[in-house]
Amino acid sequence: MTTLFGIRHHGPGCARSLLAALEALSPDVVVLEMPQDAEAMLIHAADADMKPPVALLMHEVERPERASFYPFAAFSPEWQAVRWALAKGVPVRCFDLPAAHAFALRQTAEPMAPRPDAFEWFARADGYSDGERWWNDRVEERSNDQDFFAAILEAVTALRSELAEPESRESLLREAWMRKTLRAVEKEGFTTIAVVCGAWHTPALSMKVKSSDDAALLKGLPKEKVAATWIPWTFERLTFASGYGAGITSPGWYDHLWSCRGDAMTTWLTRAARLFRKEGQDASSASVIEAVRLSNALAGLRGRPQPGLNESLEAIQSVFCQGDPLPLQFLNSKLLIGERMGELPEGLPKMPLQQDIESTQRRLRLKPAASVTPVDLDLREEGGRARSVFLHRLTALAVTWGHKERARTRGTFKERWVLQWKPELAVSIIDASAFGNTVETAAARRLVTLATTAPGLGGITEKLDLSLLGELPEATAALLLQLEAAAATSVDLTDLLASVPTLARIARYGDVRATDVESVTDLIRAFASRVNAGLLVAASGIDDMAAEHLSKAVSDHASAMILIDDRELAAEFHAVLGRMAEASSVHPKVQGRAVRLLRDAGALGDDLTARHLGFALSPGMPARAGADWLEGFLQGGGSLLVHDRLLLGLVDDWLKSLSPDGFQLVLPLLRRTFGGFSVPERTRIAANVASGTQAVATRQPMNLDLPRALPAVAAVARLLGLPEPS
Amino acid sequence: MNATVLRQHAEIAHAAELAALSAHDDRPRPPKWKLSPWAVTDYLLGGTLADGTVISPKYVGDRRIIEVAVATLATDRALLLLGVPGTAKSWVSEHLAAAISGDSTRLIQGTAGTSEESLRYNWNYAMLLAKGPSEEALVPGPMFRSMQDGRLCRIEELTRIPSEVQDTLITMLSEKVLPIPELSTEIQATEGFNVIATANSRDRGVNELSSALQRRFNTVVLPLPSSLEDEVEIVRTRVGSMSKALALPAEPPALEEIRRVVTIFRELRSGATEDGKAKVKSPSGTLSTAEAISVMTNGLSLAGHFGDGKLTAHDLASGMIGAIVKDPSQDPVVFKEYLETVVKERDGWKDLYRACKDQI
Repeated sequence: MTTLFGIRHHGPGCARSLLAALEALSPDVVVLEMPQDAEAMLIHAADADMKPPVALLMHEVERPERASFYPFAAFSPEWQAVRWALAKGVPVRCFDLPAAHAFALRQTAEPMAPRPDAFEWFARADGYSDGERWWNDRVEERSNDQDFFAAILEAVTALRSELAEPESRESLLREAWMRKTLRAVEKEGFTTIAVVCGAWHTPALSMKVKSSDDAALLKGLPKEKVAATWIPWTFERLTFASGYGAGITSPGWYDHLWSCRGDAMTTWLTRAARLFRKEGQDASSASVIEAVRLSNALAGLRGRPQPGLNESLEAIQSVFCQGDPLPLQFLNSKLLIGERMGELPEGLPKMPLQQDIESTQRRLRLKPAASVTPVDLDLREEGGRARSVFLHRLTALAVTWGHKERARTRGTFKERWVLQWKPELAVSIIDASAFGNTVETAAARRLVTLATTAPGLGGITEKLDLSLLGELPEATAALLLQLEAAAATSVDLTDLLASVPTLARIARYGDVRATDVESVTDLIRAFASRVNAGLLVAASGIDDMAAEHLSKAVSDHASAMILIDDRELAAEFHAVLGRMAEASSVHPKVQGRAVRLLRDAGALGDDLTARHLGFALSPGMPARAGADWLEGFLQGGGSLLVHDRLLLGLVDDWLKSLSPDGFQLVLPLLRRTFGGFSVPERTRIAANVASGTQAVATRQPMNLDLPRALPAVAAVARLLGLPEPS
Repeated sequence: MNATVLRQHAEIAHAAELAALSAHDDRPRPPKWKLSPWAVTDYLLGGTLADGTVISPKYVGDRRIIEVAVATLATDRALLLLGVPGTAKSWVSEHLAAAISGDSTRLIQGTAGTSEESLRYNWNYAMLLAKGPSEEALVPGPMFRSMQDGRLCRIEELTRIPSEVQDTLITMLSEKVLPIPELSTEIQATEGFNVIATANSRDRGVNELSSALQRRFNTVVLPLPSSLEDEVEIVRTRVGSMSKALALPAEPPALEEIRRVVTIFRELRSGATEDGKAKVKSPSGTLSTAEAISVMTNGLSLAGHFGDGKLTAHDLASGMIGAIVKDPSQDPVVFKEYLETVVKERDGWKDLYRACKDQI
């Protein structure tokens, strides 16, 4: 005998009724609505260490991005059915269309327009506003489960025959496959068969269809190679809002209903009160009592046996929030949805890459969590560096567990990452596993492969950066070769400019054991001379956007030149900058920057700087150009003007020399430049102007007590690794 | 009741509906309630009974709001109705009291001058001087009497009452007792007693409820009507019933006229046109639905007494300007700008534009 149990995929009431029904029926086989090729994986559900929410991930072997998820929560009827069957030793069969066919079919099938929830009809007939609410009231939150499934079957049969909407081909195929498998199970000699499937499909299973018709329909289905694995899932991904088709509005509430069998409402409202208290809102125990009473009264008024989610929320709003709906938002992620994430037992068949990632996570004590977690890494410590390397390698693998944020503090030894584990990262891991079996090899292979398929200076440099930060020496070496080849054909100077800082970093801090520093330095030399040759042309006749970009790139290039410390190249670079400062065709912002760089490098005297400044800001110069020049000159903060009184004096003199009309003309432009400085900088500049800008002409010789200073100097020298002072 | 009464109490105006509801009401009623909570909800939201009696809707809006309010009263918790002026707080409170206790007259109007005596009891001073404190010398207030006979007592504008006076309510609401220390006795509330208070959310911060008192209330916020259709419907039914009561000689206004006034009010209130295409400045007043209703009745009376009995844009304009221009320095500018940018451009609104322009 076959008994049909029509369920909705995630519902505690269904799950509870199903368990009771299975207990009463004690079937000798349980048939589930899952792809037939997932059957072998279900055995793992018996493992006590498997903690839902988890999902069965099925993907094409060739293209792992084509994947389907079958999520289970503790309150999913299927999950409970599987656990029940495995505990009793009852075999479990899956009877839905195998994913191998489903994937192949999906490539050809026309996407169907999403159909409105069919249960809307019941809701409307019963005087409810929507199907979700109706199902909740009538099915999930009811307490007696007599004739529950017979009633569902009858209702859905009536609904499907009344609506008589055309089913999609996929749906028809699935139902034919289900009938076919069911017949096979019956033939195997099982006598009491329990079928657990979506309520919508139950009429199609009780319908009399000739087996030859089904066989004809299922003949010659296309096929793809498919693999299956378990992955941890989150409550957030079970919601409608996350785009999951069979989603529910409030997994947190369902989980609560499932795990708390006694007085669900009291504990629910107490949890809400505790969350409010954490947020600093008043929520006393007396309020909880009143909220429970109100929700009970509301349920009574609406003729419901027990208060449900809506009653609880209305009571919370009225009692805790003084009628204001806004504080309910506090409850959203923590209570209504829930931040739970599933766990998988050890030793589940996993892809080697996944195993490597997990073992590394354990080793580095970086626990994946569903919530957004900031992590600060101190790169001076072994652990911090190892974590940074691991996270960079994952980024190189496009497993975007976290992203790097600009560290709050100055200095290069700190990194701030923001981590959030999302279930769909499992797909990225499968995708990445095509490149290798450990994080290190896969990351290196992926970077190199991508660089080959998509050459281009900018892209290669970016990957080079990742390989450097991810400590992937082989990849670094390979990428350097590619960079050299690409540079030879590149015509865009900005790309060249952008790669020099990265190269300089490799030369300076790169892993000396594996990277051939000499070749990198050669490469930089080649790049730098190319930059020197083309910079003047590149800076001429460009628009504001390009100038902004270029002046930044030139600054980075200049600091890179300081890093590699090559006198000859530096001299050449300075000569180019000098020509740029003079050439009228160069954009004024870049000109300003060039003068500033020259001055900072000590290649331009104060008097010459003053001449450039005066020239650029002279009345004959268009006001706009003057302001651009000053902006380029003062780029990167006002600390220069704070500390360099001489420079401040120059700007001050120029300002004082302006006619009233001229002053009015440049005022808005100056405002733009100075507005970019921080407030303390501006305050100090103003104070310096007030106290007189003339630099102290001659410094008083310092009267030092040398014997007393010596120990301090020696200590500093030791810290910096310098020879002992005498 | 004689016909000269200007406005009937809810329980008298809707006596037939209440009687019909009571006759059909077979559900359990809380102690001393005239109707079951279901029937009270139906009375407020309207519907048709089994015998065809039509119950007119008293409140147009979300059913859940009324359900929470009725459920609150059924749990013997006090109810606080909160909202901006003109969102039918007093209206709902009156009808709730009429349906539940059959009496909406136990009313304390909250003002800055409301004293503890008006919340508790007063003394007949002649007798107090002659005989000293005694039961005969006691003059019970509405709250006192409601506690004695188990009915609902209404407090209007709770937040206008000074905070130190408000707190007198705490004992009555939590311990359901009104102590009379002068006679060393007390009044214990009987079943059926409860309090419905209304408060204006514009008054927030004036006489804020102490948190101890706040805790004794379940708060229900009455929102402004969510859709234009709802609001037009509210204005239409109210203007209809009021013009009947006031015996205005004009014919009831066309729906189109109501829609225009409601649209103007909604747009000025929300700061954007209904189609969401243009930004509009908001004047200082609240521009509630209640004010739209009074603009309509005002227009009707102008049309009836001074015009030809047909409501024209001119009859509406003066009332509208009176409702919108509350602050003589800023509001005229706001309204003029609105007239020029929005009203002028609308098809078929020319008459209204000219009428307003003439009078402002």
